[in-house]
Formats: sequence, C-alpha cells, structure tokens
Amino acid sequence: MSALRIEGLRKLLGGRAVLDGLALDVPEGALVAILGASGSGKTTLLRLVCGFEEADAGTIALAGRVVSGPGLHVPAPARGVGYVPQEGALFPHLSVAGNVAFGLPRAGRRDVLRIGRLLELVGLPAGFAARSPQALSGGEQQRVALARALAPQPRLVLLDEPFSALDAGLRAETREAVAAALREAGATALFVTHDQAEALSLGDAVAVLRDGRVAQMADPVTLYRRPADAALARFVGEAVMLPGMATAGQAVCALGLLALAEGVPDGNVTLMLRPEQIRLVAETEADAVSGRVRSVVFHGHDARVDVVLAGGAEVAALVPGHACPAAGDAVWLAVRGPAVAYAP
Amino acid sequence: MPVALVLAAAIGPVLVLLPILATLASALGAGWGAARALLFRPLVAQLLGNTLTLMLAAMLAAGVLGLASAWLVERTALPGRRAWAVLAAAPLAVPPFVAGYAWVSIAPVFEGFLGAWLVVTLTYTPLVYLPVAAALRGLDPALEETAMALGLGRWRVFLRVVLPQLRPALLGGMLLVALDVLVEFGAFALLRFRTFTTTIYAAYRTGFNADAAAMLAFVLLLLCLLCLVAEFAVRGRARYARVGKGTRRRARPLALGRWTLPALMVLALPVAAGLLLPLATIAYWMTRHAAAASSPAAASWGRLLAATWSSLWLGATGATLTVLLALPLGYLVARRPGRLATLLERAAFLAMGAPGIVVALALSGLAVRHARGLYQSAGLLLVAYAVLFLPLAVVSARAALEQAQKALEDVARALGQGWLATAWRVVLPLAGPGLGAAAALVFVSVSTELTATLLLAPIGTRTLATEVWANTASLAFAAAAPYAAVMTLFSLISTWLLARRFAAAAV
Amino acid sequence: MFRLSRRAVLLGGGVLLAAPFVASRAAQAGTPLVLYAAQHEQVVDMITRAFTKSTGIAVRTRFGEAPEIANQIATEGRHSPADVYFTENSPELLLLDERHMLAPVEKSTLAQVPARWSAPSGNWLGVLARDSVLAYNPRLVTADALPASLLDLAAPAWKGRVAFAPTDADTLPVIGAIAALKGRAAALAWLRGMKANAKIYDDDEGVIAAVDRGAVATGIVNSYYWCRLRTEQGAAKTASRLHRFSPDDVGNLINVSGAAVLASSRRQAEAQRFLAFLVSAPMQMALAQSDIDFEYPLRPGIAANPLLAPFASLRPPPVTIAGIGDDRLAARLLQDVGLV
Repeated sequence: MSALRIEGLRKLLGGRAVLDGLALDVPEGALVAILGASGSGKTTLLRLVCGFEEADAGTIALAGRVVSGPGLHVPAPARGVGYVPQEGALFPHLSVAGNVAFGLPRAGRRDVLRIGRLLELVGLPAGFAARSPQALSGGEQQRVALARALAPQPRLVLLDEPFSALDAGLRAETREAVAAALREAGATALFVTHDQAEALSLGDAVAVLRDGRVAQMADPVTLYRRPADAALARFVGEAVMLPGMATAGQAVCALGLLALAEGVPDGNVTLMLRPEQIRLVAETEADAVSGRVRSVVFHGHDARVDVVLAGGAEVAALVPGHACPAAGDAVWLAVRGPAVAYAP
Repeated sequence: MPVALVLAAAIGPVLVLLPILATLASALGAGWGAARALLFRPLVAQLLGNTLTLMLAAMLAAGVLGLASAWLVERTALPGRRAWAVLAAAPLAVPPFVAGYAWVSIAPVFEGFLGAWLVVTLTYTPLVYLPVAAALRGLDPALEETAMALGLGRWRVFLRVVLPQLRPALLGGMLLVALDVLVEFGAFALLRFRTFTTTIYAAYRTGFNADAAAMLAFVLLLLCLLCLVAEFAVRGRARYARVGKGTRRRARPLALGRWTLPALMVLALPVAAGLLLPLATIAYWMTRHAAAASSPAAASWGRLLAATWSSLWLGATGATLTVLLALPLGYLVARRPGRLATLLERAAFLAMGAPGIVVALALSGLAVRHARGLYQSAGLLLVAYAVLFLPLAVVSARAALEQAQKALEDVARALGQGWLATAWRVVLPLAGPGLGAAAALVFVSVSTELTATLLLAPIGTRTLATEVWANTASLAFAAAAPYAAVMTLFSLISTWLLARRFAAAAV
Repeated sequence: MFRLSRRAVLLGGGVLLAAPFVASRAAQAGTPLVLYAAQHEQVVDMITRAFTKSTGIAVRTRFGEAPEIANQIATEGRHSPADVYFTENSPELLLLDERHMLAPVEKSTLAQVPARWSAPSGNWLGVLARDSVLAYNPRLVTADALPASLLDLAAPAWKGRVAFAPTDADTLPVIGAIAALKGRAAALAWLRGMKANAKIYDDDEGVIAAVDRGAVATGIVNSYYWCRLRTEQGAAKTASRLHRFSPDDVGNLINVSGAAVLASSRRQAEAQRFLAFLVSAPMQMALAQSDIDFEYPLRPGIAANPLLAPFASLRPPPVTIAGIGDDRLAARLLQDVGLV
C-alpha cells in the first residue's frame, strides 16, 4: 500500500495556482526527495499533507485513509504526520527532553529511557536530554527536531528543507545521521529541497516539482541519466544540448555519431549529454572531434572547459583537474556513453 | 477555529465601536435644528479656541523639547547620557491630574492656561522624546558621514539628512500629544482651564443638558478621530516596526564643550518641573497632613487602604479583561494578517481617539437602556477600562505573539496537539512574559484612571484617583496627598517597565 | 514550576474576572436600603450609621452631585435601584415630583417640620436648611466696599474679583430665584456679567477655599462651607469672612435640603422609616450639634450650630419653593450664556 497517495491536488495562493493537479505516490518505507526551484510549491505541498492548510481540490490519502478531499479536511493534530520544519524550530522554553517528549501522551513525557533511545536514534548522546536548545549547534538542533517528530512513531515524516541552514561540513554529517535514523525508524519520509545534489544523494526516489505538478518521479540514477524532457535535464545537473539527426538508434551531431540511450523515431532531435561524458582525447583517437578552448573554470579536482567546435557549436566538458587545458588551446573531444534524444 | 478566532478577536473592537457609534448616533439623532443651536454658539467657539490653542502650544513645546532632548541624549557626549535617557521619559510617570494637583496647590497663578500648558507639555514631552530618540538611534550614521563628505556642515546635515528621516517619529509624537490634550480631563478641571472634556462633565453634573453634552462629545470625538487619522497617516506601519531592529553603529558623539551646561539645563529643567516638583509637592503636603485642611470626608488609614485596594482590584481585573480581549485580536493580526485583521485592529485603535468621559457617558447611557444588569456594576466600569486601554494591550500582545515563531505552533499541531493544547503548551509560555508586561501596563493605567472611574464606579467604590480628585476639587491638598503618593508610586512602576522595555529594544 | 505559575495566573485571572459580577449579584440578594445622596458624605455617613444602629436596617449609599443624581433617577425610571433620595436643594425634588416618581410622605413625618419647608404636594420632606452668602477676604476687599445685592456682582467693578460655581447644586436655585423675582432677562443679564467677571469653580468648596487663601476677593457660597472651613482650620487660620446682602435680597436665598421616597421603591416601609428618622428630634439634635453639618434643623425648637447666624435673623427673599422651580430653567440659562 502507498504510504502517501495524492491525486489532482490543487492549491491557490493569492489567486495563483501554486499546485495544480499534482499527483504523487510514495511507497511504504521510502525516503523521497521533493526537488523544486524556490516558489515551485514544495513547502505548500508539505503544509497540505501536514494539514496546516486546506487544499482547493484533489485528495490526499495517508496509508489508504483519505485525510483531505472534497468536503473533508482532517486537521493537523489528527493526521499523525511527523513534521520537521526549516531550521528545526525547537521550543525555546523546553529542554531537549521536553522537546523530544512534546508529542507523547502525558504519561510518556517522563520516560527517560525512551527519550534517551530517541536521541541515540538520531545520533546524539542521551546526556543531551537536559540541555537547552540554545546550547546546541544547528545540526544538533535539526536532529533533536527529528527525534521530536519520530517520538510518537508516525508512519510518515515530512522534512522542510532540513539541511539548508547548515554550513557545508555539518550538512553532510547531519544528512547521513538523519537518513540513517529515518531508515532505522522504518518511517516513510518526504523531504523538500532545492539542492539537487542533496536530493540525488539522499532520496530513494526524487520527485521534481514544476508548474504545480510532479514533472518526473524516479530513482536518482534514472532521473539523472534519463530526464523526461530537456528542461528537466537542465534542472537536474548540468546538460550539454546539441541538435542532431537520429537514424536507427544512433544520432549524428557536432560531436560525431553518438549512441542513443533508447530508441526514438528517425528525424531531427535534440541530444543531451552530461559534461562528464565529454572527454579530452589525443588527436590520434578515432572519431575525435576538434575544437578550441574558449574558457576554463578550474575547481581543483576537476575543471569545466568550454570548447567551441569547428562547426561553431559550443559544448562544456568536465575534465580531471590534472589534465586541464588552457584557454586558446586546440583540443580533441570524444564522447563516452549514450546520449538522450528529445524531440527538437 | 478561524471563525471562533475571528469572533473572539472582534469582541474588543465591537466594544470600542459601541460608545463611539452611540455618541455619534445620539448627536445625529438630535436633529439639524437642535444640532445647529447647540453647535454654533459662543461656548463651542470658546471651547474650540481654548482647546486648539492649548493643543498647538503643547505640540510645539513638546516637539521642540522632545527633539532637543532626544538629539542631546543620542548624539552628544553629554555627561550621564544613560541616566538622562531614562530620566527624560520619567515625567510620563506622573498622571497629568496629579501634576495638575501639584501645580494648583503651589499657587493660584497656575490656574488657567499657564498651568494647563505646563502640565501637558511636561507630562507629554516623552511621547515625542521616546520615538524620536529611537528613530535617531536607528539612523545609519553612514548617511550623515556621506553628507558631510559631500561638503555639508553639521547644521545643514541635520536639516537636510537627519530631520527628514525623523519626521514620522516627530510628527507622530506631536500628534499623540495633541490627542492626549484633547482627551485629558482631570488636570484641566483641577487647573480650571475649560476644554471640551471639562464642559461635558459640567453639563453632566447639572444633569438636564443631555443634548448639549452629546453635541460637545460629538465635536470632541471628531477632533480626536481627526488627530488619530493624521497620526496613522504620518506614522503608518512604522508604529509596529519599532522593536528589535538590532544594533547599529552609534554615531560619534558630538563634544559639547562650553555648551555642556546649557544642554544639561535643557534636559534637567523638564525633569525637575515634570517629575521632581510634583513629587516634592506631594511630599510637602504629606507632612502637612496632620493639619488637615477641608476634606469632603474624614481622612483615615482605613479610607486610604480601601481606596488603594479598590485601585488594585480594579487594576488587576481590568488588566486581565483587557489582555484577554486583546489576545485573540493580537493573535489574528500576528498569525493571519489580512484585510479583516487590519480592519479589526484599526477599529481597536479608534479607542485612542475616544476620550474617557465620552466612553463613560455613552456606556452608562447604553447600559441604562439596554443592559440593566450591567448598570452601576463594576462590570460596566471594567468594560470602559477595556475599551480605553485595548490599544495598549493589542500592541503589546501582538508584539509578544510575533516574537513566538509560527513554525513552533505547526510543530505542536503536527505532534497531535489541538489548538487549545497548542495555546497552553506553546503560545502562552512563549508570549507569556510579553503578555505579562502588557497586563502590567494596563494594570497601572487602570489603577490611576480618573475620568471613567469618576462616572462609572459602583456605589461606594472610591479609588485613589477619585479620592485625589474629590479632595483637590475642594482644595484639600493635604488630604489628597497620601492618595496621590500611592498612585504616583504605581505609575513610577509602569514607567520603569516601559523604560526597561524601551532599553531592551534599543540594545 | 513554570506550569504551576501559568495555571495560577489563569486561575487568579478567572476568579478576578468573575468577582465583579458575583459581587453585584450578592449585593442584590442582600438588598439593603439604597440611598441616593447628594448631601455631604460625612453627614450622610453619620445619619446612615445612626439609622442602622437604631433600626438594624442596612443602608447602601450612592453619592453624587444633586442634579446628576436626580437626572440619574429620572433616567433609571421605574427600574431605579434607589429607595430614598436625600439632597441639598429643593429643585431636584420638585422635578422628580413633577414626573410622579415620588411616593407620598407619611403625614406624621410631614407634621414634624413647618409645612412651608416641605413639598406642597406632600411628596417630599424638608429636613435641613442652608443660606446663601457672600464670602470675602478682608485682605483683598474691605467690608464697606461689599455690594448690597447679589446682582451688583455682575457690574464691571467686580471683574476678576468674584468666585462662582455655576454648576454647583447650590447655585442653580439662586439662578432660579433671580429669574422668579426679576424675570428671565434679568437673570440672563446677570449670568452674562458673572461670566465676564467670575473665576469659575466646580463647587462651593472650591470657591470658599479660593477666597480663604486669597486667590480671589469674594465668592458666592452657602454659609455651610465657610463654617466647615472655619471649624477645620480654626479661627486664627481663617482669613475669610461672611457678608450678608441687604434684607430680602435674592442673594440671601434659603435652600432646603430634603428627602423623598421613590414611588418605585419596593421597601416603602423602611424608606418611610428613614424619612421619619431624618426629622426625629435626636437626629436633628445630633446634626445641629455636630461639627460636620452646618445647616439649620427644620424641626422646631432645636438650636442651630453657633457658627451660623440665628435662623430667625435671616432675611431671605420673598420667593417660594415652587417659585424657585426645578433647575431646568437655570440650566437652560447657563447654557444660553455659555457657562455650560
């Protein structure tokens, strides 16, 4: 059964449809990332699932039970959904233990062992219980917020941009801890992010929000390798787009003859390659295409090289840092792996 | 929940609108002929003249004095700057009618315009000083430095850069002074300066002039609402954005040199006249109390205790009721802003333009006709207090609630807590200190309130304020002193609270 | 700890809020006799204490200025909580009588005082009397320069040298008497003159205090207030003196302090008892001998306070209680000249 099933969801804010016919199906136990640009309705979707706001149309079902639909709005307290807001939002007037135990029935609020277990679940020592939220680092606050959401053992946990406020070092560490805790708790989780790397690395599946609906939902590898359309390809990672002509599972373009990831009807197409598929090779290599380096952005471990091809087309290649050419150099390029073809 | 919330939030504004509309209705109901006869007569012209002259004089004096004090405290290397920052606001601690009592008991020469002007100017200058000082503190000194780098002298920098930015605070403060001059009653009655409020009271006392009183109340109400609208327009939403702006670099203080002494005088004289003189006068009359001058009733410890108890009890109950009414409205405005919330909030703020005497007369008239159970009860008096002090409570409640993150409520609700449990376990503890401060402010305002108490207090209830009033009216200054002393003590506490919040907001 | 205090605060608030309503209920349940009094608090307190002591009937008193209280009773109508109205001056009683709001006073009570001091209708009772005088401060004006008539004070010579409380309940009957004796136009002219000349005070207490401390040369008051000031301060400290106008001048008006039972009262018997008590010999005697009340007892044969001139020596103007009227004309005239 789906942990969360959404159909035809519509929400107007200030007269504009922020969500417009959104459908989403989250399987039991999955950790799903909702990826979208700012203003794409990610947070609105979360608030509708939590029950903080009422949908204008569509249905939301939690584990088969409809909680929002025509004429029906189950209020937030009755939904049993765990919620971790941006920046954690711990209750400043309560200790860590008070925060974690907040959603427990009165009798459970003094269960020190249980609170300790919950803290350990999110990778914090049980001794943190007595601390005040002000004494915690951002990452620790975020973990306490997760422990607080997990305490009543919800079937579904929603996290709103959980790592965006953390600096780079803390972010990776907190991310791992949160993912591990969620898996251990066996909860289905939905987290919202605008950071594609975060979505791809953390999610079992990623749903990309665009124009008020889910443009594509797939596992990270599929989403990256086979984006459903050109715009998605550009949104998820960097993309090199070239016009080409497809014939019999192959295509000809400025980079030569490329294999296609899947069959398309013969004719004009737009081809999509990831920059890391384009390599610098020796002039002697078969099928090498010549070009001239226009500019280089050096990152250290790798570098992004913009190359103008003989025919005038421009492509970006991601090359290892040790083999980085200089602007103005003549280079030869070759492609590895298949290209994705879209209708032009 | 929202419907219940909106309904709860609307109670306060409706209570505010009731007396205002009733006053308008009874004036309009008198008919054009009667209205013309009552409006276009020498008395109204004389009252308008008196009131407007005093209003302008007080606005100007308070404006100049408040601006000068604020600039001296915020921008110069004045000795004892921190102490002056608090002292400059301190005259607000003396209720105007206590100041009036002090001046009139010194010499009869202060009766009339001179005393009235002194009292309102000294008492209300802090209403200009506080916002202007806050605005000065919020100004980025980089602007002034840039202007100076562009070749402007200090004086021209002040005129062309500083003053324009202070204008909302300065004008807003001056309009508040105007409003307070319009609604003040006790000080003017004691100083025998005739304004609309004192004449309405006289008409009420002679009993058979209901239409005349209603018409004067109508004119007064219009003047007040005019001031209020102007104040809204000038200050706009800046009124709310005053708290918690964070620190800015303080401008390099200007060395005063040989101007130090005159500058100190500018600050010291108003404090001496507005705070020390009333306190000293009360103290003087306290020592003379044994020689008891004519008092309408025998003075005794029992009477003082009873009046103190009445003031405390009414203050506590009034503060509780007012804050309870303000809470849902503050919550609505803080959490669900929108046209409806703004409308209700504005309606509540109308109370600032509703003079105590008008509110009290209108409420008692409404009660006698439509709510006999409330008539002459402490309940009606409490309603009047709630109307008069709702704006104070709403501003504070809203600020307190805005400081509590909304996300925390979402978390609580997601954790299965209903709105009542959320309010109890999250909102109340977080907003509690702010609400407590609000309640304390209302408490002191109520326990020193004179006008509505005078008109609406139930049989046998005498408060500190009405005792000061009764004794001073018959020039029994010594008999009034103990009541004035206790009351001023209450008031000092409130100013201390205000100053502390002001200081906290400024750090 | 925090939770406890939060609860305590709420509980305390709830109790506080409920209290005023509960209190007023409880007060209604006990129903003591309700007295609306426009007389001086100390005097009324003295009377009600004695009454309760002698009869066991509790009394609750609402104090206020006379016309204000009368108007309040009129507004409250049949629902007025008042049982008895006790006031300083006749006009308000006349007004309530005209509106048929007063119950007849028991004949035996009326018989205790001379009939001319009570209502011709028999619906209210004269209890005490006070006389109007001119107080002056000898440091500011000599006795021989004082006017023969109250009406002279409106002349330009007295500009800034007279104090006057136009809205005091004792002043309204004076205005009514001027209108009755000299006509409405004369009364209006006098008030215009007074408006130009006088320092305006709220009440006679303010007037007498101002004269005594030298803030103004003369002041129109009832002798009551001078006697009280003199008693409190002692002769040595009292600078002011009293001046009586020439015989039969309107300035020598005698005001009657009277009481009535409200027709709407549900406690007629106790209320009548209170009235009888007011004019009983012991009470009248006690008032006359007290150092808080300076009025003439209307019960024959009881000597007034020695600070007051003998009752027989007074030379009041020839105007009846009905002639003085019910204050409405006086209020109207005050309004016409812009004093209210």
